Amino acid sequence: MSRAFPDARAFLVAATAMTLPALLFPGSALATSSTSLPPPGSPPPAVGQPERREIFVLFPSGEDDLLHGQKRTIFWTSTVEDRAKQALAELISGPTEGLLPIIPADARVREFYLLPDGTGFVDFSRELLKVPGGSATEHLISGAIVDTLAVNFPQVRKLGILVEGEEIETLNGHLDTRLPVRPDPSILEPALAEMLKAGAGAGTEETEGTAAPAQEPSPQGR
Amino acid sequence: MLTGRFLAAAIFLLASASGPGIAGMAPDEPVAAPRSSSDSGAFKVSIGQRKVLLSTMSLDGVPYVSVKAMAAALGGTIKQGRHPGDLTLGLSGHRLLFSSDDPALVSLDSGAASISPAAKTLSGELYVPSEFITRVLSPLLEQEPPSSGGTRDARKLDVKIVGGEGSLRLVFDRPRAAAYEMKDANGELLLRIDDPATQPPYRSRSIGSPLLKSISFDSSPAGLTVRIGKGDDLGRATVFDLKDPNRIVVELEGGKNVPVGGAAVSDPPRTSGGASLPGPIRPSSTAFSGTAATARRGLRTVVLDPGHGGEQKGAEGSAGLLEKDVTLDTAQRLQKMLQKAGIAVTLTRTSDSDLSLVDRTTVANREKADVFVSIHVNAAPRRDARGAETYYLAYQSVDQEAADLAAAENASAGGAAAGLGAGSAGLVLWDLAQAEHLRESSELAQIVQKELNEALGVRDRGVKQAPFRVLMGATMPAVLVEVGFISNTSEESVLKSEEYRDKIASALARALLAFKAAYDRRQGAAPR
Repeated sequence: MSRAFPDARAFLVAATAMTLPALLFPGSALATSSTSLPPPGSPPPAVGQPERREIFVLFPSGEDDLLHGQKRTIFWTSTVEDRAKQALAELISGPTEGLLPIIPADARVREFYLLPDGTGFVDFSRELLKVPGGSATEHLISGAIVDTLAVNFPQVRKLGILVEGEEIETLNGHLDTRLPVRPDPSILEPALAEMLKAGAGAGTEETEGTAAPAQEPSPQGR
Repeated sequence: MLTGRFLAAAIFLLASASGPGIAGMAPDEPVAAPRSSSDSGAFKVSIGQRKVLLSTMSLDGVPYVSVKAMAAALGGTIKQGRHPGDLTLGLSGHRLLFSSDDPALVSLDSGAASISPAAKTLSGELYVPSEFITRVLSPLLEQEPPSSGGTRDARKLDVKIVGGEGSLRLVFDRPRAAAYEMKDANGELLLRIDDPATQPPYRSRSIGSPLLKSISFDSSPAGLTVRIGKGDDLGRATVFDLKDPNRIVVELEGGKNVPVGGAAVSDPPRTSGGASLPGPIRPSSTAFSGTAATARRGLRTVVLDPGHGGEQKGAEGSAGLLEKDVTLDTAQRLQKMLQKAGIAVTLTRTSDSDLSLVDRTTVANREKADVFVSIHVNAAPRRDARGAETYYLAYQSVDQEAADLAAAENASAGGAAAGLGAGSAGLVLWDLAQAEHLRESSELAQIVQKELNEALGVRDRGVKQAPFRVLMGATMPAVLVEVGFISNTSEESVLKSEEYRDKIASALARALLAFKAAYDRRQGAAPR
């Protein structure tokens, strides 16, 4: 949907970029979607067109049991939270071609939070639980969610998966998701696994450009 | 449980509380008692000469302090259990044990204290009311820490509490063998150890588990009496002893319907060594002799878990075959085969019914199964994925440290027990129960996979490890078998046939019998 209606997406991005800080800092000046936060107290500048960058969104393939990267462009908005939500929206919207969809297409990301210690929480709508059965499927779903964020945003060191604001025991009866899940390089194509390992040493501090991959994996279905 | 607003507020506050406390800048009294959950304030802790300022957050109008931030500010150490509410805080030689079982209680060095209002967990962090610091923590830190560690008194009784679902073991390590006796007396079990030289590790401790309320010790010239406060869910209690090292083990089992057995038990002849038994005491508990036999009985009981069931259909094939039906039928076939071989088999479900993952593990623990096998059928997005694979449990890296610790503790305890830290009333969380069986689980997984490969001739996907919920908390070797892919049309069609299910079942039966042979041999060669 977002690819078909770029304007709608720009609107969504601007809207989330404005509502998230409002939620986090009630009463504070609204942050905007420009690339740096304004100094406290300064009037909110006009919403400009933020920079765009490429990220890798992960999908299973028809050839092997691994997740592969497909390049997508997102708005490089000011907060990791907002970028993560865009990345997850791309993950839900599915691959263009060559790879296989993995998240139920009608699932929505309700919210994404990142704690200072690098623990992210993604809160999905209940449709996430409509995943088809099979532990292999379940493994790919949690891997696609966690690793898509970890590969692109090294600030996210582990990820709690919530549904409608609640912790879940498992996605569909197999793997424990009660506590935040660590990224799993073992289900990634080798180049992405390398990226993940390299990014893991990057620390929690936000560094501009960490998402720019040093090594190009071989994205499929472009 | 975690609503969006709640989390958002928590993040805001965590961000403001993330720095260490600042010494010497403290206002005189607790600064703020803010009313709304989005307010934060500061709280001063005075310990002797030290003054530390901690950030508070207000929950239901009460100022709370993060235990982690407190530890950072005061130079303490944190040992985090699986649940954010299970946490051991070490501070200047003192030890505080928080348990998610009872957030209104904390175990201290030599006792327990209430937390009021109760501790709360928020976004994976434990918070205590700031009142707790003034009332409990500050006075505690001004006391001498208990002597501990390397110079442990050889006469001191060392107590470990070992958890399993539905059962709990108290393991008393004692310096030397002596007669003992356990009596049931009004809400308490009294374990008398007739050795005047044995000293209590602490006076009393509140545990707050459903099976075990508290432990306290009374010393007398004749010996030591351990008072075991019975929890509300306690069913049966049995006592037995082990040699090398000298141990007395009290096993507490759940289930209110079963009466507490073992009115009086003493060292049986086989372990009495030099200690003479006082006259009238006789092992009268059948449970005791049963437990004694357990140590050498070999592999007798298997619990099989047919995956999914009821509303939880599991995976579905394109021709409509359901995982839950294949798993139940295959498990029933396997059950018959194993029963013919003289093995007792219980299924976690015998019909198309819903059963939670925890309840499945509980069946295995309650039946005291020697082996637990969960049977599943796989599915993958890619249609030509095929073959069988066998899993044993991987703790996520976040839990690995705790699992390693439990396993190491267990190794040092000779297989009888696992605890968190010698001399501490560490509660091993149910989830870590499987940690001490991972080696055998891995062995079983290898055997199962080999038999499946040979029997089915399908693609060998190998033995793998993953954090399967149903395997956590299993107090015996446990594996999960994915017998094939229902999402693969050719595997779906063979999985429909009785013949193929029989093939799977007999491969699993052969694997379990091979595992039994090795298991029994080990027990025969090295009985406990």
